[in-house]
Amino acid sequence: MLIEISNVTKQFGGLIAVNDVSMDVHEGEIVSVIGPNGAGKTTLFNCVTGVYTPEKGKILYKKDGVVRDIVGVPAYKIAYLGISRTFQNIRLFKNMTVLENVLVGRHPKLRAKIWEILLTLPAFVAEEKKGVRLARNLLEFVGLLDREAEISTSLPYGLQRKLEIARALASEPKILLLDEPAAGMNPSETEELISLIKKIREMGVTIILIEHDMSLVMKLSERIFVLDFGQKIAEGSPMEIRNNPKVIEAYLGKEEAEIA
Amino acid sequence: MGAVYALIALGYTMVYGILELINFAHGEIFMMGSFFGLLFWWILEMTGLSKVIPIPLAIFLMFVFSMIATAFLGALLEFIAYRPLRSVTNRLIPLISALGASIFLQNFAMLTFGSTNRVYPAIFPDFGWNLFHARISLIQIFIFVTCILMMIGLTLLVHKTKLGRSMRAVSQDYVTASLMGIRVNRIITITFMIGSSLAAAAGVMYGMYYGVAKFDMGYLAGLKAFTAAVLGGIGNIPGAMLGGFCLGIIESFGAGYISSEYKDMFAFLMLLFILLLRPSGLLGQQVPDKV
Amino acid sequence: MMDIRFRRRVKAAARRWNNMDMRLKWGILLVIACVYPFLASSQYYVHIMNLAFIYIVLSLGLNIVCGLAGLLDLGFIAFYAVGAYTYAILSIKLGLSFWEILPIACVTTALFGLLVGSAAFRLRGDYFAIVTMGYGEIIRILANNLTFLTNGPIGIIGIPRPNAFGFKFEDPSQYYFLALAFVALAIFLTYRFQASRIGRALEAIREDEIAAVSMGVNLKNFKLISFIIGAMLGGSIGVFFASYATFVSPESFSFMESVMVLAMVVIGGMGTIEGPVIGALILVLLPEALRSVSDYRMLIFGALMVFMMIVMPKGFMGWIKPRRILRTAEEENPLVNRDF
Ligand SMILES: Nc1ncnc2c1ncn2[C@@H]1O[C@H](COP(=O)(O)OP(=O)(O)OP(=O)(O)O)[C@@H](O)[C@H]1O
Ligand SMILES: [Mg+2]
Repeated sequence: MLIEISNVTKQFGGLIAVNDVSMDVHEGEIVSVIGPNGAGKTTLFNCVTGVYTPEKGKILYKKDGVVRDIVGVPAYKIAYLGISRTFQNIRLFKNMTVLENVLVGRHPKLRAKIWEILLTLPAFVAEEKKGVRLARNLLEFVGLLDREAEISTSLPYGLQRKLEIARALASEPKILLLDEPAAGMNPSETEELISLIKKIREMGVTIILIEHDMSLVMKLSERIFVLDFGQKIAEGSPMEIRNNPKVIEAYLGKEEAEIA
Repeated sequence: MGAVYALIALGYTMVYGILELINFAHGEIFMMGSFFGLLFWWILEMTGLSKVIPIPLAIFLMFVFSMIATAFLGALLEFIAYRPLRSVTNRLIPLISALGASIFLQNFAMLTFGSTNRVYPAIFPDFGWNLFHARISLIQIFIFVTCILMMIGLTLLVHKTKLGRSMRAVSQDYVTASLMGIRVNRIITITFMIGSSLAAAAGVMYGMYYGVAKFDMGYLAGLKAFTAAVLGGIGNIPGAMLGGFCLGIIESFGAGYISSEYKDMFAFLMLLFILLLRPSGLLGQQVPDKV
Repeated sequence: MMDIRFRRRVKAAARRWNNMDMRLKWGILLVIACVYPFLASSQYYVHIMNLAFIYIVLSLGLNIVCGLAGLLDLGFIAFYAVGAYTYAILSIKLGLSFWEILPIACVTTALFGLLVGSAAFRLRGDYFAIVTMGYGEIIRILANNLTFLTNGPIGIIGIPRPNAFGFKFEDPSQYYFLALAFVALAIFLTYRFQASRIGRALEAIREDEIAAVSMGVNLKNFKLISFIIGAMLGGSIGVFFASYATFVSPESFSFMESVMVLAMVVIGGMGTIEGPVIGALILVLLPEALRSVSDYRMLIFGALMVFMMIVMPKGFMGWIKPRRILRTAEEENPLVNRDF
């Protein structure tokens, strides 16, 4: 078990956005979290990444053989622990270039001290060189290398999502949380994204995915968790989820065509 | 004095509520309001009317004149210095523009009205009552009552009229408001006009109370009113009133018990203290970021 | 219409500047700066340039807080004041030399920056701004009232001038190269920080705090770092100022001064190095140039500030692309497509 979320509850005032949700993810898996709008999927991600602290529950994370509860750990430390994410409503660093965005993502791996930077000591230079090389590799990987000098927000929407993925990968994470990576993409871009995600998994990164595009979810996931009104209503293989009457009901027949 | 701060603070808060912009030139608007009042008095004196019309009427007209003139000045300020910048995302830009406007107005006042204290007419009969240990003068009561009346008026305006409803809509979300058919530009102009006329009234009262007007009086008063607005939770109308009164009380107590030299500092220290305990001001609510 | 053409011209110039070799362009500027005092027809012009240099360092300091980390600091001048008073008091009361006080003042202002920063960093946007304004005012009021230390509103006079290698700084042209050294140092510092993980983290905070945190940026630490670096720059040039003017009084550290420095940063172009430099030059030299219309100069100045913001909201140097990646690292694997 790489990460185990147990009985996590997060409230906003009277609204229970995530209600007693448990899920577990094994190393090397691709799992998906699905559910109607407002089900609490993003909130669950925010609990895992430390943006919100859940009121109840534990999130156990195994790193180097040590299991620890990461509830209450500040968000920036979570990144150092090897959990990285993308955002549903793209949050790129607007006035910075594509390459610079990826380098910010590399932050947890950069250690140069202030004096090393000021005196331009070799340790700093080597680290920067390595960072740039890796960032360029990642950009090539997502197909953005030729646009590295552009301002990030001048990219078309689909490419911005890919840039977010490259940025999240720059810290060489163990777990990658993708929040609706296919939103706003056209079918051919989505196809590319699917093969991209597969390759990321082959790099040894465990992936947790939130997505509304059922075809993508069904093609990629080993297991699926379904949330509705903050509660987990089902979990299982794509096959099981497809035929689960509760899930079909939760989607109110809206996506029945795709599910059935 | 708390009431005067509250009136100026209202202008900051109203503009902030709508545009999320600190109207740095607001202190200068207040100063101009004071001078407009004075100007009107000079006109009365020159035409000899000051002897003819009864004092209460003269005071009333002084307020009206200054408030109207300043309202237009406020609208002009918005039109020139802020409106062209509304689409700019960097919040510092309008701020610098506001500073420019404020330097301009200050120097304008200095050039037209001179760089020394200008004497305000002592229209108010100087008498008062001794209450406990404090002396309460007629003018203090007058200022207090006028300020309260104006605040009640503003509250009614914002909550009970169609205009007020539009203003609140614009401050919630002005893109949506414009889609709902509200003429956003007009509402913003009106907001500036109301805020400016309140500051003008404050300026006239300030002048009457201290007996002088000076080109640089807007700076400290503006600073304190801004402090008051933040104290109460900027963008929040009752908050600004509360903040103004708090600041006035804090200041007079601070001055009474510590030393008048540290009076200004006391207000700021209090502000720091409150903000550290309640980072969104007394009546402001904390809005968590949605991720 | 005119302003659009103006804007286009500035943009083209900025692009040319971006494409120029780093060493070449700064080298040229350095040479110009070095010959200036020999060409200046009077000491007065050198003096004005010294003032401009002081403001360049100040605005570069504020630029780290405001331009990089995006924190609106309205009390920046307080650091300058702390530096200046540290020099004035220590040199007179303890007889320490310029070179001894400089590091002491850096430490004092850094601690002060840490204090202010750790109180304020939690606050957002305008609340942060007003707290910084508050501490700026508090420092000024303290300078006004702690008479036994600061001599109150009258200020401290007769501050000793610095010595170096048996050479005593006396007239403006002697101070000139000292000031230039401060400027060069500030530029180098900003450049190094900006092209490192620290600068990138600060700019990430400015662009999006939540995304920055998710990338592992510790908001508190980095905001404090920006405050401390800014404070040290402001404080050290404050030391220079006190030694140059040989006189300090609270009047030099009013809120309006903070605002002017901010205006320099914004008018020049926040987050760049060239911006604050140009901004400081403009705002110091322009009122001088307007001296002929002396009465109206501040009036015109105010109007120009509004005009500038409307025509060029990004500042003069808004189109300059700051270097956020170490040059040697970026060019190791050069790409064909360099233009943006
Ligand atoms: N910061 C917040 N404050 C208050 N309520 C919030 C906050 N964040 C989320 N919510 C509420 O919690 C509920 C769950 O939101 P969440 O964003 O997790 O849904 P989601 O499953 O990601 O939906 P979508 O598919 O639309 O992205 C919603 O009702 C939302 O309004
Ligand atoms: Mg979501």
